[in-house]
Amino acid sequence: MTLATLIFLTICAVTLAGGMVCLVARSLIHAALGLGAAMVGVAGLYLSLQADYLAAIQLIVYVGGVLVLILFGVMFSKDLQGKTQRPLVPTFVLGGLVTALVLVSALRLVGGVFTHASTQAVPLATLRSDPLTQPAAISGPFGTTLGDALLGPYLLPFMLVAVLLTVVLVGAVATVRRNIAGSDDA
Amino acid sequence: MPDLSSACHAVAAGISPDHLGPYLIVGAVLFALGVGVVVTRRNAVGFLMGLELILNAAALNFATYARFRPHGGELDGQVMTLFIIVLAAAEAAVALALLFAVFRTSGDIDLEQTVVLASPRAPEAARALGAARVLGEASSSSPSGNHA
Amino acid sequence: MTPAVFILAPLLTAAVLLAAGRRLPVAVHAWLAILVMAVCTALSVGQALHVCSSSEAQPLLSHLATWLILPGPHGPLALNLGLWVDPLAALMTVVVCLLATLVLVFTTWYLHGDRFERRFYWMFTFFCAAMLTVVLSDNLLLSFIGWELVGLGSYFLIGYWFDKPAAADDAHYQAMKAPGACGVIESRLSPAHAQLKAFVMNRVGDFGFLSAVAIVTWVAWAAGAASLRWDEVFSLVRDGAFDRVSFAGLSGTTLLTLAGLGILLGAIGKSAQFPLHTWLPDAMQGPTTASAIIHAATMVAAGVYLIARCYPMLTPDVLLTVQWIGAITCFLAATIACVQWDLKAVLAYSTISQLGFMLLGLGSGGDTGGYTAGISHLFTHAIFKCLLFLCAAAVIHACHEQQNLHRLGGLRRKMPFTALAAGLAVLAICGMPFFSGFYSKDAVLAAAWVAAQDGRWQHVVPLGLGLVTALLTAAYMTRWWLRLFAGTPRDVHAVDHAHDPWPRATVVLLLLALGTFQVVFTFNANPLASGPLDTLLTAPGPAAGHEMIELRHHAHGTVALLATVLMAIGMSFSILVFWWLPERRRIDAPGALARGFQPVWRFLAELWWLDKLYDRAVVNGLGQGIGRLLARLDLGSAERLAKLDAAPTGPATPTRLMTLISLDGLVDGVGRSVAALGRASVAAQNGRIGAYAAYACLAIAVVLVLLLLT
Repeated sequence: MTLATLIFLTICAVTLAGGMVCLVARSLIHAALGLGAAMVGVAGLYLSLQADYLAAIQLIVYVGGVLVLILFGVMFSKDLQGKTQRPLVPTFVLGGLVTALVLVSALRLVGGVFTHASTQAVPLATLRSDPLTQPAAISGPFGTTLGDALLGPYLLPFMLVAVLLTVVLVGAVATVRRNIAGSDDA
Repeated sequence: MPDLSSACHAVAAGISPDHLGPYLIVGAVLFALGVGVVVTRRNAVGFLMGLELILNAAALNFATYARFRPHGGELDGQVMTLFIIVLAAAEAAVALALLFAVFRTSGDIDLEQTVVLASPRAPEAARALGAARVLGEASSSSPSGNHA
Repeated sequence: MTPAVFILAPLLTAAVLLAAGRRLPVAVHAWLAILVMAVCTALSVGQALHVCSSSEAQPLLSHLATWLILPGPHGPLALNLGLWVDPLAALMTVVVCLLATLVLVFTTWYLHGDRFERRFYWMFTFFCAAMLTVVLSDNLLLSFIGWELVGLGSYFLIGYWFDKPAAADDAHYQAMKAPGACGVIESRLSPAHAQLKAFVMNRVGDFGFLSAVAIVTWVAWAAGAASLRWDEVFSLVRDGAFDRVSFAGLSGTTLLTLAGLGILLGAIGKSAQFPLHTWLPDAMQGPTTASAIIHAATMVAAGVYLIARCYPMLTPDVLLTVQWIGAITCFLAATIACVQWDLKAVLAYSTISQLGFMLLGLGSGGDTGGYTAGISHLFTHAIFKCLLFLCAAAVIHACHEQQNLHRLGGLRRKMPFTALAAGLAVLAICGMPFFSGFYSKDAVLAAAWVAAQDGRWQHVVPLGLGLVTALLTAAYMTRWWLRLFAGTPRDVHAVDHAHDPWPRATVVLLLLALGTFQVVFTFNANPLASGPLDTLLTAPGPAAGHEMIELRHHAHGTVALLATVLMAIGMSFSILVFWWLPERRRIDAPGALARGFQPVWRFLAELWWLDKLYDRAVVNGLGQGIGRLLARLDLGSAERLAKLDAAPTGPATPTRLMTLISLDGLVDGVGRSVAALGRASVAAQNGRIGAYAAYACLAIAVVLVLLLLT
């Protein structure tokens, strides 16, 4: 086992450990921290997948945005320590069952990948023409940049997402505001 | 001088395994863990955490396939991942806003409570069902207290 | 002139009268029926003269129609509708038509003003058509058709007053009945019950008849007979076709005996023999004139007639059974008749007894003269029993529907002609020399005597029973006459306005009374002489040997003497007990007799407990038992059954299993299980968001598993 492999495995371990912590932690804060760890781990995995831009976005948006938001929500919740709330037993059973089912089937499905020729390793040499002579732009290793893709073939989804974000912004604010009349409408 | 991106690529090329198996496994396990959290967590925010885990796993899958295409050259997977991240953030915001609105005064977001959507004309019927929370009431009476 | 007119004319008349209904006045109904039957009588007399005097052995045949042709292994078998007129059939036709006409005339007086009067005439003519079908048919199948229709006609006529309440609810009956009356199940004594009882018991017998028809048809078909006509069937029997063919694994004599027993069962049902005799006394719920024709002269005679018809088919075993059934029945019924208080019931049991007598005669065998004797008794009995019933009708009508023997009396002063006619009939039935009954009874007993000459107990016992019955018959019939017409009336009010039915009815009575004399049948003043009937009605089959004829001659004289002595004993006993002692010596002899022999009296009055046994076992046990079981299966719970009965539920709770496996339970169960499923499904919609999220994840898991599996 080389150092490279060890590093990779460490990143995987961090991700999965974070997910485990999120699952089993009694305290919501701990769960949130676990989630954070998982997200960081995923960022690392993006890096190893040559998706450095995505790794950055993951860290900024997910860890820095979504996680913080969730932490806010956790803070507002009365039950930070998670002491008074345990899942009901039937829920435990159901949860365990579902998790196991999902795990098993997902792994089995994934296992099929190992034998499929079309997904065998692609040598890095074919991935890009010349890594060290590419323009110094934030780009993917495939000769086109992410920005080109977004403003090219994926222009429509990009615009829609922009609209969506606006709507979400307005809607979230509208949802939580109080009426002028002061009623408790949801 | 090689820029940051190239440096990262070089590092990545070093540590990454040369087939997508491990990534998919990590994605699958993360997905399963996320489902577990969704089902077991009693608190609504905990529920959201699980949801985020699931979305992360899906995004990871997309990124993996972006990297390991046999005749490479497309970035579609990464674009998908980007969108997933954006949408996950938006959804988290909306979800939290909703939770806030619904469970505003109680401050306790227990998913095991019975929540009933009442008709504005017959809120008593909903209360008769023993609902812990009744949504859509026209009155300003505070909802019933927490039920563990 | 085709014999079919005897069937078609009454049938057509019945149809016309039924269709006309209220449009025609009652008188037209009555006199049209009378006219048709009178014409039939005349024609039948002509036919009989023709058939009986012709020297040819072949009977008059008439083919009406072919119903079915069954292709068989040796040739087709045709199921025909045809007529067969031999001396037996011709004479029977005369009897039926003549009695029908006379009874119809009598009925115009008897049922005058009755609320249902029109119905009687079409039902009566329909019945006559059916009876004549049985008499004149040329094969078993057509006989069966007529047989069933006769049962239907009897059903109609018994239930004539269908709205009459049961005896238990009938104030008149309760007032009328003798104190200490028992035996009859009063809650089931009404025209509606009686007609059903008669029909159902006949049905039991018909099962036997139909089995016999099936066997005969099968053998005929398999052996290649051309049709089911009597001569064809009898030649099958003679040629041993029954040995060559097997039916359900049986063949030969066994099969033939089985068929014969089937015929006998049919006759037991129709002729009210033991054990299917209990319907006849109940049939007295119908109008007495109906009883006069059906339950005295014709319908019940159909059974005897059938046995006579199928005579060549009957094996010695069957004949022995016939004799025994006849003997048991005649004894049983005679004993019961001795203690009846209802004057019509006495006549009913007397009919049963005399029919048994006929079977006793028939069963004694052809060469002993039993065949001739049985049929002769059939004819003589038809006339004097019909007469007795009509006299009873006259008495009942005259005495304000009072039917209790013990309350009436002294009617001979008020109704002399009726008393005379009834007296002649009584003398005939008792077997007084110079009367028709003597001739035929003597013949029966002589035949039984000859049959018993071989000394075997199987033949001696029936003879003994027959002789005892002769004594009893004399006793109870004399009692009947004395109670009605002699002595002093006990219920003066009832007999106060009694008078002879005049003029039509009395003429009828006197005409019939003429038929009670022996000369009418033998054309010879000597009581011991034999008549044309003996030559006309010889048993089919080999003629009796010389020895047998000798035996018969000797038996004739011996038995005549014996029978007369027995009759005298019986009559004198009755005169003593029922007239001389009560009237002349003021001793209540009948009462003393009843009290002294209380257990015997009770046993007889309870009709040998047979009626009640049948009611308990068959009606309650079998009928209602099966009904309850089926209702239980259908409804699945005693509670629901009780609700239907509007009865209070008992402590028994049905098991769930019982509820489930019933029809109701199944149907309900479908609904209930759907409801249960719905309730179970509703539990999933509990308003808990966490639960809903869990369901979504469960769905994801299911999809993944499915992807995995496919």
